[in-house]
Amino acid sequence: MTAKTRDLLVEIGSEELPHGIIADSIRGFKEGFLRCLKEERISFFGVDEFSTPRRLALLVRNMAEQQETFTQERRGPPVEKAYDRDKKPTKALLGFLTGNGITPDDIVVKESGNTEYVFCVRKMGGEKTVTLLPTILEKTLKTMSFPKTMRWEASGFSFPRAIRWVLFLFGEKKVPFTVADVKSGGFTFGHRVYGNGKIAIEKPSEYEKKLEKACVIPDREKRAGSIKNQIEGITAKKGLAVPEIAENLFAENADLTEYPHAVLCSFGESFLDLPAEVLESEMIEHQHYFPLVSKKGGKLSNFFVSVSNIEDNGETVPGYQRVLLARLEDGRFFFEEDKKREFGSFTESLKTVTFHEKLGSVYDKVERTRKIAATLAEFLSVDEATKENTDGVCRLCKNDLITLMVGEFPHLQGVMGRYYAKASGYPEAVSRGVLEHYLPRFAGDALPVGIEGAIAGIADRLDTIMGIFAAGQKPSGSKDPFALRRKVLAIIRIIIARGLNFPLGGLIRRSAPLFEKISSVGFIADVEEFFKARTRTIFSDMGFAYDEIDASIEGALDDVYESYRRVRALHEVRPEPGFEDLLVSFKRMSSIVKEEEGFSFDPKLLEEEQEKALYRHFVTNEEAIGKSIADKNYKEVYRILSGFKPFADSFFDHVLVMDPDPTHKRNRIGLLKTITGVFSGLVDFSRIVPEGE
Amino acid sequence: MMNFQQIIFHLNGYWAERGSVVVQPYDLETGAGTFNPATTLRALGPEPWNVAYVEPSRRPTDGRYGENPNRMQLFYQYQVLIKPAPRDIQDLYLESIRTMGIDFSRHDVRFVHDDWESPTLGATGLGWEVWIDGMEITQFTYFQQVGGLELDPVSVELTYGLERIAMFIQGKDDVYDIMWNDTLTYGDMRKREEFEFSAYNFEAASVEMLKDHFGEFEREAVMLVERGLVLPAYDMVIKCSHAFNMLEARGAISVTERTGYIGRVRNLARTVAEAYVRSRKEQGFPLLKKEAR
Repeated sequence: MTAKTRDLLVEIGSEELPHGIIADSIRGFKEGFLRCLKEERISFFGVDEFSTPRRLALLVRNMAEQQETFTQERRGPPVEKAYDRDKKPTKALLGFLTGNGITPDDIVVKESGNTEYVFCVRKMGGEKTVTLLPTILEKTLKTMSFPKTMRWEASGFSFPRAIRWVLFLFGEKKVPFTVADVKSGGFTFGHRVYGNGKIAIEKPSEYEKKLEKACVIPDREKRAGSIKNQIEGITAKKGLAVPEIAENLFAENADLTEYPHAVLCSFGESFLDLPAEVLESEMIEHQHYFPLVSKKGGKLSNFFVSVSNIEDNGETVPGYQRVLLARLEDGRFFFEEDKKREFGSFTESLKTVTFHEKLGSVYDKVERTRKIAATLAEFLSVDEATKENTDGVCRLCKNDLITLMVGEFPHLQGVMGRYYAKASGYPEAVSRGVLEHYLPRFAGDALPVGIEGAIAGIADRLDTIMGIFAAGQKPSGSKDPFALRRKVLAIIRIIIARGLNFPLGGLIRRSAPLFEKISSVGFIADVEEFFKARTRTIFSDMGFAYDEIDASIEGALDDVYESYRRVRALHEVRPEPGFEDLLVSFKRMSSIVKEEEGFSFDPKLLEEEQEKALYRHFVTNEEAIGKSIADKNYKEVYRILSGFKPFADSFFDHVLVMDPDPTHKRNRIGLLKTITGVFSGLVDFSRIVPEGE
Repeated sequence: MMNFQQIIFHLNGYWAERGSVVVQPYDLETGAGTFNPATTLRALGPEPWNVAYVEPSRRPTDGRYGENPNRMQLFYQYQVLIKPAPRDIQDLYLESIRTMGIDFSRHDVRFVHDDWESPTLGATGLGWEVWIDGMEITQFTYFQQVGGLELDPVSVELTYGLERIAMFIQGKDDVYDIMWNDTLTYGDMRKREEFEFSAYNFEAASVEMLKDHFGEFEREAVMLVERGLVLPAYDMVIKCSHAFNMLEARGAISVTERTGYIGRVRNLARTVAEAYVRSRKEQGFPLLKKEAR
């Protein structure tokens, strides 16, 4: 059966939607509408979506003119309870009839599980699509969700912005529909300026073409693509390009225009003295302008592109430039004002900024961070100059929070601190550290280059983690409002990238007194447990197997970096031929050693050739193993371990550890304990889960 | 080309023709046209309202001693408030701009998302900044709440930035170069004032006095609400708000204290808003009756 189909077109015309919600809104509209079609069993072939600031539209292709039909069976009461002695319908049957809206003639009697029941069998569906459409649209609009909605007329209906028209066509037929104070019709509106009043749409297929003729490109992707092409056309000649940080602007400008035209503009070169980050923020965030950088070197130029909603006529340029000029003047004012104060003097003002109700001001936080950083610097045995610079970073690192510029552009925290510290004459190691203590800010972000920023960054994060735990707000389940999990990740990334050897657990315990006013010392165990659990997860995210992590993580809080190197070494040698079997042998050894208590070892008591050979091999390598472990050359240890394979194999093939003679038994266990003991600082063989187990 | 005062005459005429009652600026220091009781209070309750006026708006922290071409501690807003919001309000608004001589086929007009919120008034609204060639010339808002009360019917508020519009029409890069009439510039009229008030706001204002004033106005407002004198009580809210703005300009309020001050003004605003609706109800919502007639 080939059902008859038509195309459907629905357009919600509104006052300008916020550019930030258009992508989600059209997705929600499409998903909601199609879900309703599915529920109503109305088939269709495909969907095109359109969205501009003033419209959300769907063109559903080849939609069935009728719902699918299907048979619905509902079981009523058993026959014997459906009729009384006079064969009259009982109350039970009458209730069933009314409930289904049928008469006694519509009933079918069927057997079900040895009992005869009354059934209502109906052909369902087959309703005309066009009569169902108003309900479908109403339901769709009701189920769409938005970050914020408003009311604007008497019905109290809410939507992100006022709806002003609805175009609703099924084939060439107009579908009647009412939402808020708007009745649907067969027309749309074109561009605000170039469009000429109402545009009649006779059938869905002509929608896009007619709008384009009225200077509206309804396809969002097409607009974004057009902006990209236009900008490339403009910049190619000048050797300029759009920097990566402005990538989002293509979509953003597509969501701000119906008929985009890229216009090249410029600003005074003297502003290039301001930090590039400030100029870029002024252009991107406030004005949605594209900053342009040199193709070679990526240096910020004094050219930018504004995207207009009308054709370029040269008359818009002075306006676009004037606005930016005003903003840049402001930026310069902020920058100069902020620089008037010695940067260090801001620290005192941090006393007025609350960090956390229980943990005090940002000033208090800075003071704690300095102490944690000092302990860490001591653990790392850095030189005196570095210690001093690290303390400088800690003292200054939050100062820019109260500058005018960071007040205007919060995301420039750290970036501005670096400029201001430099302007106040602090050493490069300090000013760079002020920025770098925030790194990494997100997955894939850069890591601190200087050790000062690395230490300050670890200390700052550890202070937050310990403080929040002390305040009794540790993360639980999906709740992690202070992003503590991400902070542990950042700490571990820094430790690994820089190869920092220090006892993290020791640092936590030494820092505990800083929080004694807020909490009893008990929270420390929670903090350590949190770090251990996070370390496991992070290692696992790095691609290490669980048993590799379990075998290597003992003592992680004594030295996270070495723990990481141990697991990595194990992970890397594991795929080598025969290594898995070797691990099995050693796992067996360590299980025996663990289970059996009594042992002693005297090489002279060794009897069998295979046990002697194993011992000889051990003696030959013992020193090298010890030295390699001491040198933290884990791969070398695993290489030496591989050499044990033939000896371990023939030992287990020929020698009975559980010898009936207790002297031999104790001696053999002693041998295995001696051998596995040398590796104890490296790996716990008992945690290995061999393949296939 | 319109001079500054002609723009005001134009808007007065334009909105008067469309039914607005044209009132005068309020005689207290307000931070924006919204603070004028003709907006804040009249937006409350069921009575229809349609008003237009100029409002001198004081923003002490924005003072730049007359040295910045765009920022001032006092500027002029042109405010329109219509309740209920007309269906064709965007077109009405655009027509008011077009008739000033701004050709939308030559200049890029845009409604750019900008929701509005006044934490001190407990007021929120959704709407846009209206841009002409990238410059914000108007704040366009559908009010949803004032004094923490949900509004029904919804009012629409248009706040024109008169200096911005004049700079655009006259092609000036510096606000002080705007022609006020055909002979005097905005600078002739106001530059010295900006200098002196910037110095006052940032340097000379007595912090102790302002702190005392804040407390006194606050107590006065509470007393007046209790006595059913809602309109004078609202004056005290405006005065508190200005004292707070001044304290902020003097750098006398820490970030922590700030939240506390804002909360105090908002509480007053809510109390007054509730009292105002009660009072209008007691009067039988006179403008509803007038409309019915």
